[in-house]
Order: sequence, then structure tokens, then C-alpha cells
Amino acid sequence: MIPEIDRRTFLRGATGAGALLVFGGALPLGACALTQASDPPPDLAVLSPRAWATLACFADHAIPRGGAFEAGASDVGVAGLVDGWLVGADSRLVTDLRRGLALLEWGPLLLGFAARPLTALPPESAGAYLASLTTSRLGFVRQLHAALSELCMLAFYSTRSAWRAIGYDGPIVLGLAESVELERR
Amino acid sequence: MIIYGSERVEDLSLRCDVVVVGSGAGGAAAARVLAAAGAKVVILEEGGYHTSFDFKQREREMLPMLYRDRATQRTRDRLVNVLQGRCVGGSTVVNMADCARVPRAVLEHWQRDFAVEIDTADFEAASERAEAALGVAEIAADQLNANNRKLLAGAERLGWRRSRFHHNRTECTGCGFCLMGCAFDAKRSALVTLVPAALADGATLVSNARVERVVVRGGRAVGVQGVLTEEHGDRPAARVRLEVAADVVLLACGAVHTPLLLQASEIASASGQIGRNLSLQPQLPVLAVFSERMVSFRGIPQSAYCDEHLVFDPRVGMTGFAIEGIAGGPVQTAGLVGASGRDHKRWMARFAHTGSCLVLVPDQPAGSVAADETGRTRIDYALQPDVEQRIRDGARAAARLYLAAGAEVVVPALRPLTEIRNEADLARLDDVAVNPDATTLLSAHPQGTCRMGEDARRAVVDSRGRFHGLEGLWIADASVFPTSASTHTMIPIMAFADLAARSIAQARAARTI
Repeated sequence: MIPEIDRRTFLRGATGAGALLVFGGALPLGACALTQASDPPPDLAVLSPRAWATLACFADHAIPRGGAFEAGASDVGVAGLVDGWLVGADSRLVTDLRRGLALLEWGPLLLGFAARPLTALPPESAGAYLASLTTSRLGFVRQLHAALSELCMLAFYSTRSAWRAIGYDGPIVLGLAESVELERR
Repeated sequence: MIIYGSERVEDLSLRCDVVVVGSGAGGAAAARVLAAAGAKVVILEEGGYHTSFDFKQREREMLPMLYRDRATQRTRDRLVNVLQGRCVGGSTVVNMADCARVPRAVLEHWQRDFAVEIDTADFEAASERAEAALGVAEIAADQLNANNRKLLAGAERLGWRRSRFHHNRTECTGCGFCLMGCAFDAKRSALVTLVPAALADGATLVSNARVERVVVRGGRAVGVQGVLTEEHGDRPAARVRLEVAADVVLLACGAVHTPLLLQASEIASASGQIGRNLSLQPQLPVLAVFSERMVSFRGIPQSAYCDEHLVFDPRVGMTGFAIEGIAGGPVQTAGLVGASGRDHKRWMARFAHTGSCLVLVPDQPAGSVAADETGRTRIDYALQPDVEQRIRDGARAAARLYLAAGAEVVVPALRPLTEIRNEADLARLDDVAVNPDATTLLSAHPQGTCRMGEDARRAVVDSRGRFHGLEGLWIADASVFPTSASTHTMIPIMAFADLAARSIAQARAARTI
């Protein structure tokens, strides 16, 4: 799903900024100006808080509030849902995703777009940066955008909020969570 | 007997006549025949044993449970999403339940050009047995949902050849969740037909059993080794060791994983063809929005098709393309819309008004499978120029068909979004690229990585699935097809597995195994 970003590819994307990548993780996490999301959930299973914030920022770009229907990614906590979905995923998929999100976060600096990471960009700049990825000259960057979009869609359109908005009446048998809840009662 | 591998706390060692690796169309069909013939059969399945009670109709929960790599398996360039089931019953649990035979012209192509010595009447009889086991019948006209009716109506207006599928459902409720496993057991998959029949005849099923190698001793295959794993996860952790000794090892892991298992076992073929000649029969989704509410996600998702453009070329087999109705849930549909942000939401807001189809393109062998140094599956596939052109042609034809049926707008699953509102717009599809940036093709029919034929210099197995050059090893899945079967592969795989199993049973009776 996520394009494989091996060390060589990663460094190719990070030419001249290796030190930033190495030490970037130590920088304080900026609040994503684009996203409506609040703090990271305390029980993240797979993603780091920074990776969560990066994904939340991307998700709000891919599925913003408003338009044809009001609900957007931040209303249902897409990044947290993706984190939950990744439990049990192949570790190589998770590694690819983490690398992809790191590249996304530090991409504004690495690609010469801006002097801040994605989560610290003002909304217009963050939107423009993320939109620019679809026409990047780097194939894996374009594919990363497509793959993250699919992941966000999977999370968002698995929720009842989204189902209501698109006229989908949902499954006709109880889900695992509902079954457990019913049994608990 | 069923052994739940994920609950086993001690190493498992079994002895049997035939060990069948894989419980999908090929493995289940072969196991049923062999068990009925009195062989002591052990079926090993990498996935879990899940029943209709577990099928919760939610993509987020079912994809990790029932599909290999939670349905994210792709070719190395990410162009093709290769869908395969990973559960007891294999892909028959999550397929669209379409039942079609190998076109006779394709079988003749295999006989003539690949030294395949399968008698046509034998193959027809085996296909009939497979259909009888699954209760195959034509989908009734009153079972068509709005989307499939539109497809037929559009084809009729254009004067194009069209028909309804045959399927293996009985008393279908029309809930529409076929791709998530049938919660009502209306789909007569191997899980509820062939596997139980084999168990009733004394076979043993071991779930969560990951086979790591075929054991070869004294110049013959004598069993398999592997591990029993935890229940959950894409690569569930090993719990205990597994070893099965057998007179015959029958591989039915599918066209991707059978060659990988052979490679991991360091079993070579003089033909050099293990893992090569992969066909994917790629499919391009096309969406259409209508003014009326379609509710395509209810009813049988895939029940009608148009084969006007499917033609047989005696040099290469089936060519052209077919257009088949399809529907998926919100997640699957959302992934097809080549837009982002509010533009994407605008499309999804019309979800209940949307119909969709797949352009299915029979291809020539153009790929390979292997594992890299980390063990990751590598599926390489080079989209041939003529296949790319037929995908474009198919997208145009599907758009014409839906417009003829009254669609307001049609969009093939392409990035950027290419809206077709009238005949003049069709030209916009003339030069669209078909590459990983532009689209994701689907493949539910990988085939051909251990091709059959009587010439051991060109084929991995003979016409009954017996491995050339290694006694005791057989293959009975889609990997044996020399070229694309050019149709839905469940019945063709079952028919071949039936013949392979009968050959094994005969050889056992004659004590030549």
C-alpha cells in the first residue's frame, strides 16, 4: 500500500538535510495549523505523536470539513483510526508508513518548499505543499500522497458519520465492537 | 477433524497420504476428491478458520481478517492491487461468486501451443462436477440490482452482446457484502462446501499453518515443514513447529505463493519457469453517477456483463476486454475516485447514486514472482502496450455504455479525475496514461507461474499437475495455467484440481506412488 521507502530512497529525498532528519525527531512537535485535530490520543499503538500529527494534518487536507457534506477527517479522528487499523499490520508496512510520514513532515524543508515542517506551516502553505506532492518529480512522493489518501479514506469511510453523509445505511449484521458491547450488557 | 493452529501449544507432527497446502479453490477441490477416494488427507491453511458468524460486513475489520496483507498486496511498481484471500476457503470466501468455464478456444490454445494433454471432454466433466458441488446456476433476472440492470440496458441500446453471470449462491439475501465473506452462507464457497465434504470423509484441516518448505528426501517430496501461528496479524508470530510427512505433497497456494514456496524449498525446474509467466488479468474500475438513487451496494454486486469486445486470437488466446458490473462499500469506492479534498467529497456525496463496472482485460504472461532478501513478496508485472491500449478502449466503451444507460457522468478510476458527460468527452480518454500515478488496477485472477505442459523443458508440471523431475510433488492451482484462463478462475481451478486429484487417487490405487 505504502510505497517502499528504503534508506537510499529516503536519503535521496533528503539530500543535504540528513542531519535535520536525524535530529528532527528531537524538535518540539508543532501544532498542525491545517488540522482541526486536538492533541494525540494517549493510547496510540503504532504511530508516534509526531507521526500522528502529520497524518492528521494530511487527513484534513484529503478530507476537509465542509463542501458536499460537513463531516471531515478531524471530526472522526482519522489519524487515530488509522493507528488502530495498523495494529497487527506487517512490520514492514508500518516501517514504510513511518518513513513516509517522516518524509511528509520534513518535506517542506527537504523539498525547498518552506523553512518549517508540515505541522508548523500556516494552513494555506500546508495545503499548497500537500497539493504540490501530487505533481512532484519524485515518483515515490506522488505515490506516497496517493497511498496516504487511500489510508485516510479507509478510516473515514468506515465511520457512521461518513455513512450518514453519503446515504449508506451500513452493514446489516452487528460489528465486532457492537457484539462485544451487547455481550457485556 | 479441525486443528486450530492458533490454539496449539505443542509442536504438531502428522503423517498422511496426501498433504494439501492451501484450502482455496484448488486445495479444497483436490482434498475433497482425495478424501472421498479414501486417502488420508491433511489440509494446511495459512489463514484462520472463520465462519459466517465472524463475517461482520465491515471493510475495516474484514480486510485484515480475510485478505492477504489486508488487501494491500501490490505489484512492485504499485500499479496493480493483487487481491487474494487468506483464510480457510481462500479466495472463494471473498470472491464475487462468478462461475465460468475456461473458454473452449483457450483450452485448445493450451493444448495446441503448450503441449497440454487434457482431454476437452474430461475438462468439461470436471467443470460440471465443480459446478454441481457449488450449486451453480444462472443469476435470475429478478436478482439484478439497479447497477447491473443499467449495464444490460446500456449494452442493449448499443446492440452489444451481454449476459447474466452464473454464480454459486443459494437463497441470497442480496445484502451486497460478498467481498467481505457471506454472513448468511448463501455464497457456497469452499468454506461451506468442499472443505466440510473433505472433513466428512476423514480429512484433517489445520488452520493458521504457515508452510515454510517442502521436504525433499531421496529425490522425492516427502512432506512439509512450517509453523503454527498466532491468529491475528499480517505476519502472525510463530507459536510452535509443524511437520507433516506424506506420500504426496500437493501445493495449492495460488499463483503468487506456490512458486514462492518452491523457491524457498530450493526446488528447481529444468524448465526454469518457476515464478515466471505471471498473468494478472488486470481490471480497471469505472464509476457512473445517475440522477436516480441506485443503491448499488445492495443486491448481487456482480451479476451482468458485456462481452461484445472479447475476441479470440488463435496466436495468443483471448484478447479484447469484457465489461462487468461491480459494487463495493464506501471504502472501496472512495479509493477509486481520482480526486482529493472537497472534490472527492462531492463525488462521495453521490455514492448512493453511483453505479460501477470493471473493465477486465485478458493479458499475456508478463510478470514474475519472487521473494527479496527480507522475505518480502516481489510481484513484478510489466503492463504490455496492447493491454494498456485495451484498458483505454475498455474505459471508453464502459463510458459509452453507461451514457447509453442514462448516466449523468462517468469517471474511470484515473487520476486526475476525467469526467465523461457525453460522446464528445470520450476523446479525453484517448491518451490517458495507465501507470501507478494515474490509476490502481485490480487483479483477482493471478495465474501462470508454474505452467503446465508435457514438455519438461518448457513446463513446471505435466497436464495433471505432477511436477516434472521430482516425484511426490503436485500443483493444483491457477499457477499451472499456461496463459490467462481469460475468465473468472474459480471453476477452472477447481476443474483442474479435480483432475489432478483423480490422477493422484488412480496412482495410489495402482501403487505407483
